[in-house]
Amino acid sequence: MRWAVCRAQMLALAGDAGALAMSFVLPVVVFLVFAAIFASASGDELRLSVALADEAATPLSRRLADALTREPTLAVTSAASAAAAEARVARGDADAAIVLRRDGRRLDTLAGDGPSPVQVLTHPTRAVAGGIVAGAVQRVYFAALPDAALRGAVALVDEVVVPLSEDQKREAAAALDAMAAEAAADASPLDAAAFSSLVETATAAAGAAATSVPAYYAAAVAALFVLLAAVPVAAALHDLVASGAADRALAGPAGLVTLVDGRGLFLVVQGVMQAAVIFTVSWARAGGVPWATLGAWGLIAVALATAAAGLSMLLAAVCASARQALTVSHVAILVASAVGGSMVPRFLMPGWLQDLGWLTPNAWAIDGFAAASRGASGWPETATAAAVLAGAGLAAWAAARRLVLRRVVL
Amino acid sequence: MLAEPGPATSSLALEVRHASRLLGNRQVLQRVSLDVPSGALVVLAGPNGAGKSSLLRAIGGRLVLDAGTVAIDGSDGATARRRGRLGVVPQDIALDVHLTVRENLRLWARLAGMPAGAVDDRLDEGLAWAGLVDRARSRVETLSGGMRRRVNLLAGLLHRPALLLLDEPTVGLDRDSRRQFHALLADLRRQGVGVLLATHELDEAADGCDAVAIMDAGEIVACDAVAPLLAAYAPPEGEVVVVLATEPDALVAARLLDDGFVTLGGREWACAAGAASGDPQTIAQRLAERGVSLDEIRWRRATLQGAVASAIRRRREARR
Repeated sequence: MRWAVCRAQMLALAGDAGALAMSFVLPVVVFLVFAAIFASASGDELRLSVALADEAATPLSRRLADALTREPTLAVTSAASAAAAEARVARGDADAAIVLRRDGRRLDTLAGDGPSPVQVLTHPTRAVAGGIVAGAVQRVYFAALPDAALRGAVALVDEVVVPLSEDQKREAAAALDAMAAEAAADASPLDAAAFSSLVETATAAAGAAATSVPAYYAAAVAALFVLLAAVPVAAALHDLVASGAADRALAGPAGLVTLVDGRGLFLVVQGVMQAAVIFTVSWARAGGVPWATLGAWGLIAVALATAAAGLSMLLAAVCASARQALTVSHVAILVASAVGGSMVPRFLMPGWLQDLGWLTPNAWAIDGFAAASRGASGWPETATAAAVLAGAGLAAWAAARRLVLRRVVL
Repeated sequence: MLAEPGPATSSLALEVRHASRLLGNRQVLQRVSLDVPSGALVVLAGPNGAGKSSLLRAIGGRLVLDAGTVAIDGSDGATARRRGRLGVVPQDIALDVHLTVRENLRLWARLAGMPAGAVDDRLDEGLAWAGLVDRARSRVETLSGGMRRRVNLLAGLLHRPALLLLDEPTVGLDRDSRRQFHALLADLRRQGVGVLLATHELDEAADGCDAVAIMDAGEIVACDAVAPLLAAYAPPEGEVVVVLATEPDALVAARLLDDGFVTLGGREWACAAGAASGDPQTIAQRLAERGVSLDEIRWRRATLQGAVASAIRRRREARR
């Protein structure tokens, strides 16, 4: 009998073009947009717009400025002064500004009194750009001005570690002058220079980079839309009472619980189908279906859909009307999705908000799908996420059944 | 004609005994006893809030009784419901408008406990009986009001119950559709199905019904065949029917009730004609003095609706 209700719900969905689009087309579109935005933001396609003011106007500052203009992750435009650069940032014309200070320390001193030789300015709304630009400046400095960095290091050794003789100082200065001349003449890519090998970035899961970024957003979008699509079906529980369907069901062997369970079952099927559609697009972008981890993926998908079914029906049962259920559920889902990482990755959030995220199905689903994609090595996390999602969903489902019965049978 | 119903195992499709229920601080059912023989049509009459829907809910399992019993086709209510001996046709259209007629009926047949293999034959038979064969694959949202009502009726009886409960099943239908609907009910009775029908459209429902149970304040005020009820309660000098200029608010309704009127639904109210109430002109003048303006006032011969109103009035007067 539950399957009969589930089947009827599926037929109703199939006949409703609007609901079909909301459930299966919109999530894919949103996923593609999110994936495009965040994949570029975290990769080499990132290109921050930077205003550069060389107020120092020394040979070293000019070399650094030249090197910065050649840095591929920055789109550098020159500014006449620090004030002009700051004004561009304030207006939003530039994401950040780099000022090579006139009153700062020399660029070839690593320590000492006085302001830093380079200042990075950002707007409060784009604060994250400051860190990125500062990192880029340090990388470019060590790559393009290795002689300056070493000259500072030699002075530091002489002052702090062991005093150098005059001969040693002369020899070092000559070698560094030669290095400076070579560096100034060399227009080759920056990463060929001396300090470039100090830091190297690599992906932890080698080979998975192509799949992990879209997969993260597929999980995030799936969590959001599986929850959202469950709301109208759950809210329609109120219509059962209003239309007399509850009276008719109670008068037969099926009882009211069958109508609730049938809808829940439908929501599980719908949720898994939605996740499948979103992930299929994600896998297509990444080059293929990860057959080896498909079982673990399915486990999380079913658990997520169960959580969506149970929680949405519980919210609907708690509310006094279908209209109230729609409003309350949509607000709850949007908040849960924001906190749970469906809109912005949780690692960008403050610690307390990340902790709060564990109270949302979104965070468990995203974590669960990520663990599932790791196969056997991610099994403990996959099982935990599935247990939390399915457990919460089934508990909420049971509570919804009780509440609906209590509301209908007087 | 729909093939034979499930065999009735009792001569009484419904047997309610001393059913009582206090809901909040209101006694919605008060020692209600009522029989519906197999193959009989019993009409439940009474004003809004009289307890008709509460009684139907108690029979249908939605209202738990404080005291009393409900037996359906010889079994206690819960057992009979589990066995699919009861069918319900609610006032609203309890169908999914996005599904076709056939899909809706298949769902309700399955929920009523019919095995999947038996549904199709019964569906074809039912659709033919209700004149809906041509629309079997139409979505419910495309059907007329009358057709929806017939589908709603079919959804409640495809499993061949021994007792069918109907709550205002013809609201909003035109006269022809109502006649068509009552013809279907008559056919069901001939097949031995007991029918309990709650309605405000008494004079139409009275044609061919076996008994009318009049309810007020959770009690059965009177229960008998139409002729004895008319003889006992219908005002011999007919009724005065007034049509108010606007929908009455609570104050106007209270004034009308004080003046011996009963509601016929909406803006129509009626009181017994005769010396006690005065001629129509006197009544119109009296109501105008009380701030009640009228669109129309007319006399009509005694009707079942009038008899019901009279019976309720007498009971209320007796309570005072």
